[in-house]
This record gives sequence, C-alpha cells and structure tokens, in this order.
Amino acid sequence: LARLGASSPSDAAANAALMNLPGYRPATRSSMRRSQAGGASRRSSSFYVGTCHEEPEQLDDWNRIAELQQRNRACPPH
Amino acid sequence: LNMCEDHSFHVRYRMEASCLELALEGERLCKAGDCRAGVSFFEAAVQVGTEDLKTLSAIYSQLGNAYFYLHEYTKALEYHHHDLTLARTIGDQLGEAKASGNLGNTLKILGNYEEAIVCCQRHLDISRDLSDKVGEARALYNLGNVYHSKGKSVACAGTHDPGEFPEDVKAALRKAADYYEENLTIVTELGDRAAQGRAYGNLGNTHYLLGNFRSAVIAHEQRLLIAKEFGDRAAERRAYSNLGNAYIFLGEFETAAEYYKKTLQLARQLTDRAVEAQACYSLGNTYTLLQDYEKAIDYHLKHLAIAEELNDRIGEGRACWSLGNAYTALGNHDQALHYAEKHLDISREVGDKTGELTAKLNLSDLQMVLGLSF
Repeated sequence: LARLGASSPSDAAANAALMNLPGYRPATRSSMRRSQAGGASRRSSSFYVGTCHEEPEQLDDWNRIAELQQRNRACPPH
Repeated sequence: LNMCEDHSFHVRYRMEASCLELALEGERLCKAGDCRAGVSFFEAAVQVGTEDLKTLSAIYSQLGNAYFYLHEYTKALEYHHHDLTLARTIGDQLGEAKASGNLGNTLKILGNYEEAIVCCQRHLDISRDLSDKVGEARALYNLGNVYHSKGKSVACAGTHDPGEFPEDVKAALRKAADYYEENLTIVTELGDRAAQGRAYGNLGNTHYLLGNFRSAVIAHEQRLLIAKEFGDRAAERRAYSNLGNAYIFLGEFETAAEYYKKTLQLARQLTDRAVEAQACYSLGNTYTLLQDYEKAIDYHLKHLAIAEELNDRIGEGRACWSLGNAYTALGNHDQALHYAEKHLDISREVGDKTGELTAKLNLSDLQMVLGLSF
C-alpha cells in the first residue's frame, strides 16, 4: 500500500479512491520540485497556515432594545 | 367586574414594563462587556414575558448574541432560532433577515457550513428585496466568512502550504474572495471605513491561502492604513503579522523580518505574551531562512522563555526543535544535542508522534557526529 501511495497512480478511479483515505496527499508540482531541490523543502514548513490572523467577530449591536424603547415612547403600544 | 379588569390591566402593564426594563438592563450590561450578567437579565425578561412580539424578538436576538460572545454556541443557536421563528410568524422581514444572519454566523462557528450558507444567503436575499444596503453588505461579508472558514477548516487539517490546497478548498476560498470584493464595493460606496478594514483583512488572508501573495500584500496594506486611521493597534498588529507571512512566501525575507519586528514591538506594547512569543518564533524562522543563525537562536530562545512562562508545552517543543537545527547549522553539536533531547522528552509528553520520530532521528545523527554512538 505504501508503494501504491508513493507511486501516485495516474488512473483516475484509483486516484479518487486514494483521495478518500485519511492523510493521503497527491504530489504537487511544487512538492516534487522541492524534493528534487532537497533542503529547500524546509522553506515554509515552519510558517503554517494556522498563523493567519483573522478579523475578530463583529458584535456591536447592543442598542436594539434601547431603540425599541425609544420607538415605544414615540408611539406607545395600544 | 370593573375593578377586576382594572387590576389585571395594571398587573399586565407592570409586567410589560418590567420585562422591557430587565431586557434594557441586560443590554446595558452586555454593552459594558459583562455578558454573563447580561444573560441573567435577558433570561429573567423572558421569564416575565411580554405581549410585544417585536420586543420579544429583540430579546431573543440579544440573548443569542450574548451566548455567542460567551462561546456558548448551542444556546446561541437556540435563541437565534426562536428569533427567526418569531420574525417569520409576525411577517417582520427585516427581523427575519437579521435572525438568519445571526443564525448563519453561529452555524459557521459550529462547523455546519452548508446550513450557514443557506442562512446567510437568506439574509442577503431579503436585504436586497428591501434595498437595505447596510444589510446587504453585512450579508456579503458573513457569506465571505463562511466560505473562508469552510476552506480553512480543510486547509488547517492537512499539512499543505498556502496555494497548494485541493481544488474544493480553493473553490471555497475563491468564493470567499468574491464575496469580500462585493462587500467592499458597497461599504466603499457607503463610506464605512471600519467595514472596509475588516473586509481587507479577511480578503488578504484569503488571497494568502490561495497563494496570491502579491494580492494579499495589497489587501493587508489597505487594512494597515485603516487600522492606523482608527488608532486600532490590535488590527495594526494583525496586519503586520499577515504582511510578514505573505513576504515569507514571496521569498522577501528581509521585508518579512521588518514586519515581524513591528509585530513584536506592538505585542510588547499591548502586553500580549502569546503574540509576542509567536512573533519571536516567526523571527527565528525568518533569520534561519536568511541563514543568520545567531539571530535565529536569539529569537528562538526568547520564544522558548515565553512558552515556558505560559506553560505552553507544544510551543516549547517547537522552540527546542528549531534551536536544535540552528545550533546544528552553526556546528555547535553539544547545544544541538541538549535541545534535541528536550524536544524528544516534550514530544513524548504531549503525544506528538511525528515530533518524537524527528527528535530520535536528529539525536542519532548528532550522536554519530559526536562519536557517542557506533
């Protein structure tokens, strides 16, 4: 099986089956290029995608009930 | 009979008043940052109850928001769902749109992306029907966020580099970028700079994950500009880190180091030790790429010290691994051996199998170099 994974079969059906296996990753052009280049593969492995800093969730709508009260004052419920 | 009617009207009037008063106090507490206390007032308001369905809808919505803020997403989901049901029942289109948006955001956090998309799309459709530009912009931003999270959830599970994800991940990220662009068009028309800042930040990260590093830099530069306009130092700090990351992948390590140094400076000013540690780690890695191992060691040692202080064993392990490599590069095999041993211990402790294997390989190499093993 290890040999099958390493050989990256070109057959589409086999490839689709492999894609469903946990952790299987087909070789990409750049990873092949890197493995040929040897040491260069360490270029980005330390800069993992988890490091991107996202915008925090927006929760600034703390006036909705106060606005309702103002509306009720202007036009009292009847 | 008349007196009786009068009495029931009085009770009802008092209850209406106290329900709204309790809810107002809940809202005031949330606004002041005490959502925990706010929730109890909202819950009390629900207990009292009200005939005014618009008020009830607002209370449900704020309860959902408060629970969201407290990271109690199942509860948040429950109340946003009540709000949606109510808004639909009374035919309040604007309320339905807002509730759908809130529900979508909560579902996104819970990882239910398909349902989140349906809800956010509903928010978008109603906002467009009502020609509500602010709502439309908000819905587009939220949709962008759902697709971004969807893409990132798969991206983070693997060990791919940015730009090298499977096609379905890329498709989700491209959709996210499209929604952020659409949002930007509207918020620019509306002159909402704060919203532009948020969209640029997330758009930049989406381009980064797609491997469009030049576009990522352009977006993060805009985010930086707006952060400075608002004096928002947390946003400024995020922009510096993100710019640093993009320049690493552009192969411009000197520029990356400059941005990471600015991150470090701000992290220290904001006394955020975790971010400070991360900036030191990034700087250590950048100087490794620049082959300046002395500086790399200096920053990795700073990272190690903070990781130890914060009792972050995973961070400590990473620091030891990096230090081992840097000392090896300098030919200081004794120090390299010391950190490789530490890396092995920590990897075993935290159950990091890959780390354990890497450390063992490094150790056997170093022992060979030092003549400790044959």
